[in-house]
Amino acid sequence: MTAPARTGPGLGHVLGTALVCLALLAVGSWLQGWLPGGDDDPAADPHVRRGAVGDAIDLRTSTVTVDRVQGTTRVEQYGAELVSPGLWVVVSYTVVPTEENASITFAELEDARGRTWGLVGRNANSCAESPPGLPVHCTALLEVPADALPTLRLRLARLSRDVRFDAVAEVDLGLGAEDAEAFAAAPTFAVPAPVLGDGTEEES
Amino acid sequence: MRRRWLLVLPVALVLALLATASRLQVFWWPEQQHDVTTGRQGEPVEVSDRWEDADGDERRRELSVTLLEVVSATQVEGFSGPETLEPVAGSAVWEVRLRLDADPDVPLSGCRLSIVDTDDREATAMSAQLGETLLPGPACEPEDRAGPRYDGTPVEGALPRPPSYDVSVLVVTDDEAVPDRVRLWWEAPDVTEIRLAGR
Repeated sequence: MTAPARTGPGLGHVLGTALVCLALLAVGSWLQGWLPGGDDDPAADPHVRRGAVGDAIDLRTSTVTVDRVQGTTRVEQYGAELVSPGLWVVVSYTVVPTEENASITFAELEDARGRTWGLVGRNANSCAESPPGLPVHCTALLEVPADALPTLRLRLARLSRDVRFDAVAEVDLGLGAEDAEAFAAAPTFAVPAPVLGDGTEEES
Repeated sequence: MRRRWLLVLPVALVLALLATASRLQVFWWPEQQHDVTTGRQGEPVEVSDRWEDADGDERRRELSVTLLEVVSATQVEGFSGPETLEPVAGSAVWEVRLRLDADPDVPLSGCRLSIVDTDDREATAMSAQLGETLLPGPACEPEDRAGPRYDGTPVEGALPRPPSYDVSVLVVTDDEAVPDRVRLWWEAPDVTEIRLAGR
């Protein structure tokens, strides 16, 4: 009586198959991490236009220019004084609508650590709608910790509720650690109402 | 034989685009002012305007609009009477005078109006603080003589709206704008566009 003939795959074949499976799994796993997730929508990312203080940045629906950056620990708005345990960063900027009435309602600060400060809590953006070609002078005020100052960038966009697909201005505010001391010693800043027209914003 | 199927590819591509085009209808087209009634200054324009009531049912209002004139505004109605209007640097304020003929039972509140200039820039009337002056938002009904609300109820204390009346709407533009057309609308997709005489 003879032993039955061996018909299964050889050891080399099995190991090879396992190796290919593992390689496919690894590639699949890498792809899974690399491709956008179910809730991601990279095509909808805003179009970021970068500039510095004083640069006129084209946002398609308007041109926006950051005119001045100030800071303090105390701001006065609607008759109330708001004292920050950190610092108020006060940005004066000008919006010139292009083809239709426009305004800026989205404002956000971000530092190099990825921390963001938006229009929540006491932070505010004082701006108004303006017709094409007529500048409107606006003010954004947001409170941040003093250690965020040296790397702060301001983002401005048309709609606070939705910046998908839209142009967003990103402005390096050019602040340094030394500004924190000056801001801490600055007097109370009275937030001006938005001003329409070619004239510059009134000094507070 | 297989090459024939290559011919089907463009057809499939067109069908796929058409299938995804439903998003245009869902997200974009109904909000656009694509149903335009046109006219010229000085001539009554018959308007049939659709609006949606609180139950979501479509309703219509029939009215006649005449663009009387578009002139530089010199006054604005303040809290204590007319105030002299002084546009701030770089701006111009236009007074758009309209004559409306409509049944007093037709709701006409909430109108929007804009001036399109010769460069196709559109300045929409809005309430605004212009220098020391507070400009009112657009209104297409006589003050104190408003017609009914959109649910049909009368405005308390308002006298009946006359069947024919004139209104003025103030529009701010920059000082380089040369008005070319006036647009009047309530809800999309209907809009009335009246070209100024001589344009």
